Amino acid sequence: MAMALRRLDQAIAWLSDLAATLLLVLLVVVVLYNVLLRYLFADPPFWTDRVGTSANMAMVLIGLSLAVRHRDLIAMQALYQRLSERTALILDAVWNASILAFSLIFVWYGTSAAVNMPGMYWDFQSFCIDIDLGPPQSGFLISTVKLFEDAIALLIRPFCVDGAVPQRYMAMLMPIAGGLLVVSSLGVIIADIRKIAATKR
Amino acid sequence: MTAVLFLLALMVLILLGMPIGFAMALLPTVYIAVTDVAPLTSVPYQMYTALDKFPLVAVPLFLLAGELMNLGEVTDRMLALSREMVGRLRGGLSHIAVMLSMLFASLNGSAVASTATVGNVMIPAMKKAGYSGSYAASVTAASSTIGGIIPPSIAMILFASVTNTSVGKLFSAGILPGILVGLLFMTVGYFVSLQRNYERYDAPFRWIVLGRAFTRAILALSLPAILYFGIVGGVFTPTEAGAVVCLLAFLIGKFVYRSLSYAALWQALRRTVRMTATIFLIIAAAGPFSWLLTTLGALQGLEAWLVGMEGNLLLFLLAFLTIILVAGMLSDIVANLIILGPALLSAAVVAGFTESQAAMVICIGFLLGTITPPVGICYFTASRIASERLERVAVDLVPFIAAEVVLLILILAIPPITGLIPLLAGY
Amino acid sequence: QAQEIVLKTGTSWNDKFPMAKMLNLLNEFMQGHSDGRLAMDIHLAKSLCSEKTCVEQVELGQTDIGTASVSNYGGFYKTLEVLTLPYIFIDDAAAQAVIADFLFEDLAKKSAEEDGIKVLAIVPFLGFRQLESAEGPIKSPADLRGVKIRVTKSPLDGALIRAWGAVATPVAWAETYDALQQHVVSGLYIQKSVHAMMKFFEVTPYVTLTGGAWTPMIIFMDQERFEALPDWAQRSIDAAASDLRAQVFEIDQDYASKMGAANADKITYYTPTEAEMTEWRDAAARSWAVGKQLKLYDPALARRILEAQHGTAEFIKQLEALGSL
Ligand code: NA
Ligand code: NA
Repeated sequence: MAMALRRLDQAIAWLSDLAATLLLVLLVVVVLYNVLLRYLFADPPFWTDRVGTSANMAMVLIGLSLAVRHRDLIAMQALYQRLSERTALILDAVWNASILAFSLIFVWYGTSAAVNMPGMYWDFQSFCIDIDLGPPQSGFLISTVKLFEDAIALLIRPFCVDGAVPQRYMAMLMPIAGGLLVVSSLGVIIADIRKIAATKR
Repeated sequence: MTAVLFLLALMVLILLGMPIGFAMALLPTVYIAVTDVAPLTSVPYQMYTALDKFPLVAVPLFLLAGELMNLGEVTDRMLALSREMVGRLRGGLSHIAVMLSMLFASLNGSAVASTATVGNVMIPAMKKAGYSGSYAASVTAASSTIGGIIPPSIAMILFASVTNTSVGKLFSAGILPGILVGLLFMTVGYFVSLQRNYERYDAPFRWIVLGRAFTRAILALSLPAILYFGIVGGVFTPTEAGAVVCLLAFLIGKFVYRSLSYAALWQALRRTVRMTATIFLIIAAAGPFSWLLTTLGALQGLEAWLVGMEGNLLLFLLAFLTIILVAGMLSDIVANLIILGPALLSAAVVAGFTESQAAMVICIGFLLGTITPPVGICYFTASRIASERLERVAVDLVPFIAAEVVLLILILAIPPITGLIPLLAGY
Repeated sequence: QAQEIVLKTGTSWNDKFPMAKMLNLLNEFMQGHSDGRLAMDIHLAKSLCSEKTCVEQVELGQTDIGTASVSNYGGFYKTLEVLTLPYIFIDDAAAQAVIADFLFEDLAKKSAEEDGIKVLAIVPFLGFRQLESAEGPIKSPADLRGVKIRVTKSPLDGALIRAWGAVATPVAWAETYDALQQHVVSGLYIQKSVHAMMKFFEVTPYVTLTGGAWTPMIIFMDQERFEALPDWAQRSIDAAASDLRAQVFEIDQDYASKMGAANADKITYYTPTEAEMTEWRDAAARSWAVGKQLKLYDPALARRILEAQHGTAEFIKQLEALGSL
């Protein structure tokens, strides 16, 4: 059982690491693509800023659980110098327990905030509605980009509601990030307790 | 009163060593749960909203750009050249860090993006050259405030929009103070380096060596040039510039210098993710934290106090600067500019200062808040890049903070520092 | 009497704009109607929320009363989009009359029932929007061909600017000045008094008085939150809101003339001729099609609004011909 849980935990860590890193790649690519779009079209579609912002948010919210897992958070260390090893470990466990408590609250109320989140992203209107973007342009690069845009439109269109994409979908990041935080803070607390038990009084 | 307790509690938690972002997020959570002043959905929602801003993507982009420039030998070659040029001065790399920040400041409007870029390039190089990590972190953190002083500046755009002042006027008012603060920092750097006997490059000067360093760096040097002309020419925005540098640094490192492997690239991406997450945790947590302070009317009390002192100029100045510095120590720059900025500006104008003077002191003062402990986003970022303990960096920051306070006093004493260029520009 | 209920209120506007005065007035009226038992705690200048986040916070129960421009509100609910259709109102007086006559009641009822939003007031915002440009004067849509104009992401906004022949470029409000200065865009479409007061003339000195979109603001709360209040508080809010509605147009015009007078000497205004005005209006009518396609307005209601005003017969015919009514 413990073995299975550890496997699961490692799988979650591996997947979040992969996902967050790919989101960073997506961020770079989408921002570069926006520069290209502006160069190609006088009146370019404007979904890229939204995707860039969202990729950044998702990367950060997933990255947080990785930071907790790797004990990578920004904190003052001055006090720790003056503590015994055991006391320092106990203090660490206290902080990690409060992170766990916070994460549970984050999951619960984050779910509620996400489910009730009103509003739409107008940014995807070039995928959701047929807007007349002026006379057709030709050229290899332009037709390639248009083909690419059409492909993304196929992906996005199922999420469109009356010409826009509900903000609610993106807001689900809150409970997801909270859930990942719960798993990772639980993991570090267990490690803390093991270490405390191993040190002599 | 509640607000004071709130801030005290935060200080205690931080000093006890609780991770700062979680301390900032947990306090409003506990407060809301106990007093029921707002629904608890406020906490995740405000954290989420605090991150939901496009200009923030500049931070990971420039962090990654720095990583790639380091891995791809781009940085090494630029540094070798600058060493040949100014390395014979005491504290050469420290001056280079300041100058690089000033150059970068004219391209980018955000102090924390500046810390990310210049820090990721300069801190490792400085450590290699024998500077302490804490000094390297403090000089880059301090210099990055110039990013918000020399135009363009996100802080000034924000300030102009909440006070209905002219962005153009603020931008032109920021030029001289930005150059002045750079000079002040180089002076500080010189004396600290002298005292600590930091590096001085003592190989004899030879034109041929300089020429060789220049040739080796010429492609690397084209990066800032492309950045500069790309932004000025309107090809890309300062935020997008981060992604462009990533692409170019990758292409140069991979295909020209051939020193960048895909495995190293992947590791650089992973490091960037974790560094961004730790920095943005604090930006996110500042969301519910300052939202709750606003809700509680915490900062309106300060304002009334200030207005009561307008009779006595010296007392007023003391109170004015104290509010700016204390708020800067504790609260996020955006919240400070929005909540305190308008009241501070009108109070200072009533007290007899010009709009440019008052606006610059407020903007620069709050930018200074990004490097003052206990809560300062550039301070954290630089410390994180240097993997250096916060309290050590705090100590090394003191002379730089003092220098910037001197600048604030100079601005208040000498109107032309902020008035001359706006006058010439016709505002 | 002691204060029993305090309604937390947020707006993006600071005290130099009419919204601040209107909220203060609303607060006075609430206190008056409730013997001081009900009051508002007003946070100006984005300190609590701004536009989009005001709607979100009110909906999530974090803030009691919020304000938003109707075009930002359109990202949440479509009920009020009809107000922003170009040239749906002839002038401010006509807008005032129609809103007082039946439109406020109609829209408030629909908002409460369908969107769960209690609209306290529809508030004019400094009159109609005008076309401001870096180079000019822009006399007719022909002068606008290929010029990049800043728009919001609202589809109606983009559709109007495109219908006028310009290139519609979405830029966030906070970045607009910068974008104009760096020539990312060469013009914008905002109320002329905002243009004058916020010093946009530094980068766009030419203003063409096209009129067109009349983009009001709303003061609103969550319907459920309202219904959860005791009866006396509900009555006080309704009475106070009604008092405020009776004054908003006067306050707005007062601010508009004062703000518009600021820096007027640095701005070149151009009033289109009768023939040019017809061109602006004809082109704008075509943008209604986007609104129709997205079901942003109810054609029957739009027709009723137009028919309630004098001198709209031509425009109605034109819209009918385009299939937009
Ligand atoms: Na700058
Ligand atoms: Na600070």
